[in-house]
This record gives sequence, structure tokens and C-alpha cells, in this order.
Amino acid sequence: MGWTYVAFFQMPTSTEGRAVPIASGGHELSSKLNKLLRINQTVAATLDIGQVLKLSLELEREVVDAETGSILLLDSSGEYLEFAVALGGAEHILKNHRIRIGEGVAGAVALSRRPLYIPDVRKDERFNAYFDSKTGFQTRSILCVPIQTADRLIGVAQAINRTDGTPFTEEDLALFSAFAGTLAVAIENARLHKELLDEEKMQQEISAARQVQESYLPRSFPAVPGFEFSGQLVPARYVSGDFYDAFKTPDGRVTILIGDVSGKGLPSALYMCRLLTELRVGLKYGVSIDDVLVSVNTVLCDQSTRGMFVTLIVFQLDPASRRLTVANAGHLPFFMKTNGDWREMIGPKNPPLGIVPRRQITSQELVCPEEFQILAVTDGVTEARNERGELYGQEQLKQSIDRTNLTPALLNSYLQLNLQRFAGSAEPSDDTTIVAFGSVRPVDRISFTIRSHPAYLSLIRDAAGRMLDQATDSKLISEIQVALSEAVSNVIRHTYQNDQTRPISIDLTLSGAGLEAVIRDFGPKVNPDQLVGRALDQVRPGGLGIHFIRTVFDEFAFDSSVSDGNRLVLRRAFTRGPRRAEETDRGGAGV
Amino acid sequence: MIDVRSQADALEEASIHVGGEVDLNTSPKLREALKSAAAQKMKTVTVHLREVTYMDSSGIATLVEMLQAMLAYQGRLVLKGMRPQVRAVFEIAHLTEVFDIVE
Repeated sequence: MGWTYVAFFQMPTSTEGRAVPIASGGHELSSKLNKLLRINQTVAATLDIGQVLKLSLELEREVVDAETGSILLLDSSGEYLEFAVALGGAEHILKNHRIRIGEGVAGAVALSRRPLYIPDVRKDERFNAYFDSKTGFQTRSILCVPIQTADRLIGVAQAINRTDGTPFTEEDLALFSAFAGTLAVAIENARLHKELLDEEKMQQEISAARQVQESYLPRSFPAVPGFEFSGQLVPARYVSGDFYDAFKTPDGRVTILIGDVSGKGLPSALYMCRLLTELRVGLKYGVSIDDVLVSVNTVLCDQSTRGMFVTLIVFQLDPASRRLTVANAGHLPFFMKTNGDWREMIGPKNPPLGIVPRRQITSQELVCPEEFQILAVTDGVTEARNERGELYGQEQLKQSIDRTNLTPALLNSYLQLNLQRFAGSAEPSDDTTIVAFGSVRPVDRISFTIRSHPAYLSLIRDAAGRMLDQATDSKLISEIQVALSEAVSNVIRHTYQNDQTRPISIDLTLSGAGLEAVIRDFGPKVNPDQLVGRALDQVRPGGLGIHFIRTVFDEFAFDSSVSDGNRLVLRRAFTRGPRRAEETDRGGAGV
Repeated sequence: MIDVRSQADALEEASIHVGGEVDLNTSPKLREALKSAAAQKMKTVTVHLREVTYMDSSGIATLVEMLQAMLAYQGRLVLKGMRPQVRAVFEIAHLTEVFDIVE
């Protein structure tokens, strides 16, 4: 939208409270200059653009004793001056008129960007009587000046007819030009202020959209023995319409869905809510995926919200038979892990919902093997970019998952951490959403590679906790978590000297004899002889990590057979089976 | 994740409430809050640890550093409401006697 404020003023019927010049002279000029100064200050201090223009017209009238006047602003095309509003009877007549640059008095001033005064319009061919004929006003004399900054034209200001009937003078033109200079600054200030307010308003909208979005995400995941379901949505600064959901249906099946509403901000978030409501209602009451999607599509098409549409995948898993129904409406293909291998699954394709009414959605039925995992993401994941503008991409995602054997929830955290590491300081432009689910059994081996960033430490603790959950007592689990975390912290701080981009591989194996943890890095060789925990009688920060590791692990050894980097092997013996903390013979204290 | 809130309770007394996991990744945030209390020469600083679910050696190092800074001006650092798993870490480090630990 261009700036289209115009105000007209009418001569007051009474001259009460206003200095009426009796004669032209020094006194009158200085009084006008004073007014100019005073009102300039007022205008300059005003940040509301409408107010700026109103005050300006007051000034215009007072300073040059004009009967009426107007301010026209350049429209967004830069080719026209626009009248938008006017006071008094002329408003509705002038409102929708515009003047081409170069036409008439105002157009000529806009073109030349020089002030112009016309003592008698009847003798000037530039004067266009059109507006007089429309408004019934009789123009005799005009002052017209450009409103401009150093580099561009903002508009023009006009004063029409001196109240005493005499023509405008050069002196009036000089005052009027001075006024236009202030006006330019005031209008620019007001515009900048408005931009700031718009920015603030947008921030408020973003946080409202985020709240709406968050309120619709599940707070917990269905608990089904032998399976794990997870979802994580990391919102971008400009909230888009990502969503996921996971719930049990009354027949014992679990529905998991992930999707993305086109567009950003509050409209997308609201659209998402409507969509999720429709989907939940249908799917929770046993309607088939195909039928629900057809009816949701119909609803979205009927109430089409200007070009908005949604891509999504719906999974429905029957845990008893491991039968999985999948419908993909315009979304990225999902990944499935069977026999230790991740594969991209491209099933029947359906267009996104909300575009064209359709009678049919084609879904796919799979029977999952005893051990399987499913991973689906939104395009915020594959289209994430780092500071150098490089794309994360499907391939990197694939590589990331190929090198792990984490359970669904851990895999989810791991991938989100990888994405954050990849993006670095680049502002994410889109939400990143990941759902992962699949079968879980007590795991006896977990391996994954991280970057040497401390943000991964909590993932390592979670992974160890997940693996040891049923294997031993909670006290020992938390001690092992501390010691493992310390060992990896040491690699980050000492071996890699806080370079947070290097690889560290973690390999945890649980056996009847206890736990073995292998931590592999590719930094300079560590000299084990120099690794001494600090003497405990000295109270000072640092040196505690090694002490913790040695306290918790029975074995602490660097594998001398590796040629590059270090391979630290940590072992802790325990008899498998959960035990209560009081029954353990080995505790943390004083060991 | 970590959550750190500081408040001044009296002229020379401050409380710092910590929640979440204190590790190499999050301890800088705790250090910042502690340093600011020590810089103001608060006579007593109470660190509330009830909501802390995990602490590693970097968290302990941060508290040791604070303790030393406060002892230098005869200040008192109190650690309040430690959970057993956090206390275990202090025990491994043989630091339960060094700190003023209260329930």
C-alpha cells in the first residue's frame, strides 16, 4: 500500500484566537517565523503519520494564511500523487483521485522537485480546473512545494488562496518551503516508527501462532509395551504450520501423523488446528485413513483459505499384528528400518490436501517385521541451511541415520541436535519436525556418532539410561551416566580443545558381565600417564572428571592399536537385573 | 536444559534457584549467576538445587570456584535441597565436608 494520506482544511468561519495580519511587515514575518519554529517542533516530535499531516495543515494555514490546502503523497508505483482523505465537503470527491507526475500544478512540482507559486491561476496553463469544477471551490492563487528527503520525493504540499484575497508572495513561498523540509523529516520518522510498530505487531503474531501450534501438539506419547513413539517440533522464528500427532484409537491401534501447512504465521497455525481437529475426530472414531483424508480434503477445499494446503503422512499401526497402514498426501517419503537397514519408502502418491476435491486417497499396507523403525520428517529438516547457505538434504539425513542404532525417541533427539549443529548460527527459516517410532526391545548395544559439542552430553546420558534401565539399579545408572558424560566432556575440552565440530563415536554394549563403553575420537593422542585426577584434598575446580571416571569404571584403558586418534574403553562389571539402591554393594560414596 | 533464577533476599543475601541438568553445556549459565552474586560481595548466597536432576564435574567446578571467591571475603555459600543423585556426585568428589550443604 502506498501512502495515501491527504487532508484538506476549511477556513474557519471565525478568526477567533488567530492573529490576523493587518499589514505586511517585519513584525508579521517574525511572528510567522516563530509559529513555524513552534509548529515545526511539534510536528517533528509526532510519530503518528496521520497526526503529522493534520498538524502540518494547521501550520500551513497559519503560516501562509491559506484558505485551504492539501498534502499529496507519492504512491507506491512512484508515478502518481494520491489524494486519499480530505476534511470538509471535498473529501469524498477527491478521495479516489490521483494526479500523474508532470500533470497540473502539483504534478509539475513533483516532476521538477522545485517550489512553485502561482499568483493568479487564470494566467497559468499548468492549472487544471478539474478539481474546482468537482468541488465548487474557486482557486485563485497557489503555493506548491515538494516534500522530499535528500534522495527521494515523498509528495507535495499545496496552499490555496490567501485569506485576505491577495495573491501569495515570494515570502510565503520561502516559509512554505521551510515547512515542507520539516514535514519531510516528520513523515520519514513517522514511517520508520510505523515500520517498527509493524515489526512488533508481527512478533506478537508469531508468539500467538507459536502458542496455538504448541497447544495442539501431544504432551505425551501412547504407551504400548514393546514399542516407542516420539515426535519433536523445533519452531523457527517465523512459525510455519508444522504439526505431528500420536494417539491411540479405541480399537488399540496407534495413529501417528506428521505434516506441514503451506505458508507461515497465524493463518497457517489456525489452519493446522482445524485440520488436526478434523483428523483426530475421524481417526479416533474408527473411520479408515482413506475416508478421513477424503473428507478432510473436502472440508479444506470447501472452505479454501486462499491457496493454503497441507502435506501430510498418516501412519496407523496395529501393535498386535504389526500391520501398518500409511497414506501420504504430497509429503516427503518416509524412511523405514528393517534388518538394520534404512530405506526410503515411496508408496502410492496422493496430492496435498486442500487443493482439489477428490473421491479417493490411496493408502498402503505393510506388515512390519518384529524389529522395525519408521522415521518421517518435514521439509524444514531436509531444507535446513547453514551459514554458508548449504543444504542439509535428504542424503545427509540418510547418512546420519545409517550410522546409528538408537531407539526412536533417542534417534529423534539425535537428529534434532545434528540439525542444530549443522545450521550453526544460521537462523532456521522453517520449523523442523521429526516423528520416529518402532519396536523396541531391551537393547544391549547402542552406537552413534556425535559432534564434539556439549549439547550432545544429555543425549549420551539418555542413551545410557535407556539401555541400563532394566539392567541395574538407579544409583549405579546415574553414576555411569555421570562418568560417561565426563569422559566425553574430556574429549571435547582436552583432546579437541573445545573445537565443537569434530566427530566422537560412542558405542555402548551391555552383556551379562556388565557394561562396556567405547569412546572414539580423532584428535591428538592422549598420553594416559598424564591423566591424573586431582588430589581430593585440594579444593579447586578442574581435574574432577578423571576421578569420577576412575571411581565408576573398573577398567579405563586406551586402545593402543588404533593408528589415528584415541579409542577409550571403559568397563563396569555388575550382575544384570534391577536392584534396589540399598542392596548394592557398590555405591558412589567413597568408592 | 537448565533454568537459573537469582534474587536478592536482603541487603547482603541472595538466592539462586537452579533447575534442570548442569553439565558442560549448561554450567556457563550457572557460573554467570554465581559470579554476579560474588561480585556484589553478598554475605550469604543460597543455591537451591532441588530442581537439579543432574550435575557433572563442570557444575561442581563452578560451585568450587564460587566457594573460593566467597571465602576470600568471608562470605557463606549454602547449597540447599540436593537430590540424592546430585549428592552422590559431591560424595565421589569428597566435597560434602567442604560445602555448607543443608536439606
